Amino acid sequence: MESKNNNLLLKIFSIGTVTHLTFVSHFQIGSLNKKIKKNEPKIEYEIEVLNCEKKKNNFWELEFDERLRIAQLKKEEGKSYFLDKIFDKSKRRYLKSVKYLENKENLNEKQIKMFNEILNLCYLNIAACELKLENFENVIHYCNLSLEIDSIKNVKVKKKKNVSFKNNQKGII
Amino acid sequence: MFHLKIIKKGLFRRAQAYSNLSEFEKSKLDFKMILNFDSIDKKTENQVKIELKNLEKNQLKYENQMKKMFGGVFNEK
Repeated sequence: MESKNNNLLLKIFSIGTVTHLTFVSHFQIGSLNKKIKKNEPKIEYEIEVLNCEKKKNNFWELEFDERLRIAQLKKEEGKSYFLDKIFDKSKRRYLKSVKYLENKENLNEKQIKMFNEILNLCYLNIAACELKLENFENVIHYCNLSLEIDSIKNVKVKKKKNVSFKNNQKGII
Repeated sequence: MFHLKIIKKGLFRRAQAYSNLSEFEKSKLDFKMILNFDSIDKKTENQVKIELKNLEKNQLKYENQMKKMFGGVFNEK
């Protein structure tokens, strides 16, 4: 038997304790109108606490798949808060998802691409939240972060060949 | 393209922030960068053109205010 909150279980039980649980049903299986009271069947359980492990909450110890899953979950929470127009909370959710994606040690090139795509969107959405909160200097900071990520540099090379881009080369991406 | 959408959105939001901080020339550059991309919808074109019109109005207002504030400083003597 696994519980979601292992910490709560440790407060009630300690390792090695045994408990007995009995369930009694007064009525047997049948239609509701006919209540039969012949036998009272019992189910008995014995529960022993053998082991208890804490959840891994430190984000630097998690593996690639779990970090990506949690980051996507936090991003969707932030999106739902943004649609409800609670911009403080949505900004905090996006910052949490950024925290899971920032460390890129010991990763393949494919995995880094997967991270960068979500990181771009997170920085952009933080900038949108800051626009609504009217902190304009933070907007510029996060927009610069999203535009400087490596995946975008490939586009910049293609665009430099165009004549229309050459005329306006003063602009900084 | 997935990345081009992100660049356009990023430039658009940065330009709005610059215009609110009254740095008009930087915001003009960002808006014009969006128009230089090859693949643009008509919606974004219209949005950018409307914002460029509003930006020039705000720039004129800002310059007139600054003239009133500091225009007569050196001529009073």
